[in-house]
Amino acid sequence: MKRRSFRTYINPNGILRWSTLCILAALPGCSPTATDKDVAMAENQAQIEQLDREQAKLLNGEIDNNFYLPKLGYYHANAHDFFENPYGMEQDGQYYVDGRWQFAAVTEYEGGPTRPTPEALKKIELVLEDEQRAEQEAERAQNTNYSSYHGGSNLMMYWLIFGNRNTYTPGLGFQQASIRTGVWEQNLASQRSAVASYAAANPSYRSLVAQSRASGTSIHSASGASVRGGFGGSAHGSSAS
Amino acid sequence: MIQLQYNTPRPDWHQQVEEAGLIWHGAGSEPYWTEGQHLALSLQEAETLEDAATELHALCLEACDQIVRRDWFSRLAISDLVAAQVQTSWMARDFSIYGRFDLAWDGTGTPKLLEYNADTPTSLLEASVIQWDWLEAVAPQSDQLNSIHEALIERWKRIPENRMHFACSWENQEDRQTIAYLAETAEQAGKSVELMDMEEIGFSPAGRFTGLDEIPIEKLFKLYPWEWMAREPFFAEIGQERSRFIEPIWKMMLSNKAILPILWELNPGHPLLLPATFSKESLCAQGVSQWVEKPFLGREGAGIALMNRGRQTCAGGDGYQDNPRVFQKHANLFTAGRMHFVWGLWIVGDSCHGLSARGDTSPITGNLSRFFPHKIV
Repeated sequence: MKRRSFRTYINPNGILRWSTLCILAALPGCSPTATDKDVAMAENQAQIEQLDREQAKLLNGEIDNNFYLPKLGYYHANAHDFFENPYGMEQDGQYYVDGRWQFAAVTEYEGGPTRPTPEALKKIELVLEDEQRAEQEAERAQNTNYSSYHGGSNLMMYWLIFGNRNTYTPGLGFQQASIRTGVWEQNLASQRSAVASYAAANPSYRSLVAQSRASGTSIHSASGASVRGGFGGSAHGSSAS
Repeated sequence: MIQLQYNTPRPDWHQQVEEAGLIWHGAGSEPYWTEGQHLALSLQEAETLEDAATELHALCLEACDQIVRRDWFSRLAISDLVAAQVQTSWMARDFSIYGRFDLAWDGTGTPKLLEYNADTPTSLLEASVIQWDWLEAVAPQSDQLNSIHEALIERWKRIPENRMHFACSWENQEDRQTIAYLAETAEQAGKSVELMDMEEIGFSPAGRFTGLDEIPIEKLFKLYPWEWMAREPFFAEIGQERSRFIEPIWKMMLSNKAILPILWELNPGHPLLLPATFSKESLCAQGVSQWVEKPFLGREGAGIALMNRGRQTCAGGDGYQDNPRVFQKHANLFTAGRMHFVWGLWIVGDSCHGLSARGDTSPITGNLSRFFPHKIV
């Protein structure tokens, strides 16, 4: 028999500590499961929270490294532009930085947010213009399924161009967006209200959101192709021995 | 000489043990974790228990081999359908993590095997972490038979799969914390881990068991008895997925009390075994007058009866009336302070890595029996 050579270590951010917190907080589970409606609401809530979080920075004309905008990609703060892959992405032993693959390992970006170049702002404005066109076509076709996120994404692009109007002369896309912002903000307000009402009426949804935030995992639906419930039916108390 | 000793409780012990994960340290007004008393053993006494467990584990593996070779599954009341899976699992040596022997030993003679909790052993967290923390705070100059934590981490490293699921009956907090602790050790071995309820396990059209994200399960540790799984719908789907389950299904041969008479039959007179039979007449014919009746698949003392010359002197909780029984000669437990103690010896892989003790005023250890830390002086 040998004396133990090191102290038993329980990781303060590990699964046991998380499980203990779940039980003490009477949360339903450690692997959040949800209905499809929960998942949709959680996505809307996350988008609203992102808008709230980013608004001031974007209106100041700045973006964080790796900030993602649909159809533009990931912002690389050093290069002041958007690229298709995240900053520092590793693939086949190479690392993606400022639009190029390199063999040298990339250190964590430690700088703050930066302003995009006028060229990058032009790309943003073109996407904003396309999005408005698609939105108007969807309205004409009375397509009510047109994603609410497009409103949020458009707002972020609008705020960013607005924040850089002293160094960049906006064109048609921005001018049209100035008129549409009222609609997007109205849509955002109604989404915010819907999420708040849903959360108020569904304690389990609130628990799922709390768990998701604490664990850093996304809420996912239990529905899928698998059949479930084929084990566990014999349990009446502890299986301890 | 083994002693039950008193010590000054840590003033903040409730908080200490809860922070370490032991949130069921009492049931109502009855304590489960014993903070103010402990068992003190000499190094020689601890090594006697340790060596006994390692040897018993080897005997048990040999017994599994014999059960499979001689097709003795009916003696364990294992059906043909289940036996086929057990046999394949044993032949393939499906991977096992851990188990706990319960031994009787009053400090004289040799320890005696009471049972092998090989499939779903609990009290792991308190044996591995809580009593070690206690030792460091209360008796830091003393030692403890306890390398369970690091042995578990090393054991997980032998599994090539990187993603592991851990499942139990979610309503039971002790079971949840037991799988969470095991997952913690797997996480420290570099695995990605997820906890889930047994009921959440899915079965996909592609013939794979799945997690809630629909991704096929690579390895699943289940703290849920195989005999329960065997009567549930998904058991029919085990097939090629069998080896993904830990503990493996071959452990059904050891977690069944029928292993006791089989061990005695294969190793008659072995100093670590008690005479045990499938009928009381056979036991009485060996001159045994005090014995214990145990249901094949009983848990936490339920269904156990202590008998003296045919008269019942003590009984555990209700249950398992329909289970077949084994009859095992009575063995003296270590007693002190009006408590009876059973030694838990923890096997990780194939060797003994820990000692724990449960004490009760009843000679039958049950689910409310107290956990006592130990120190080696």
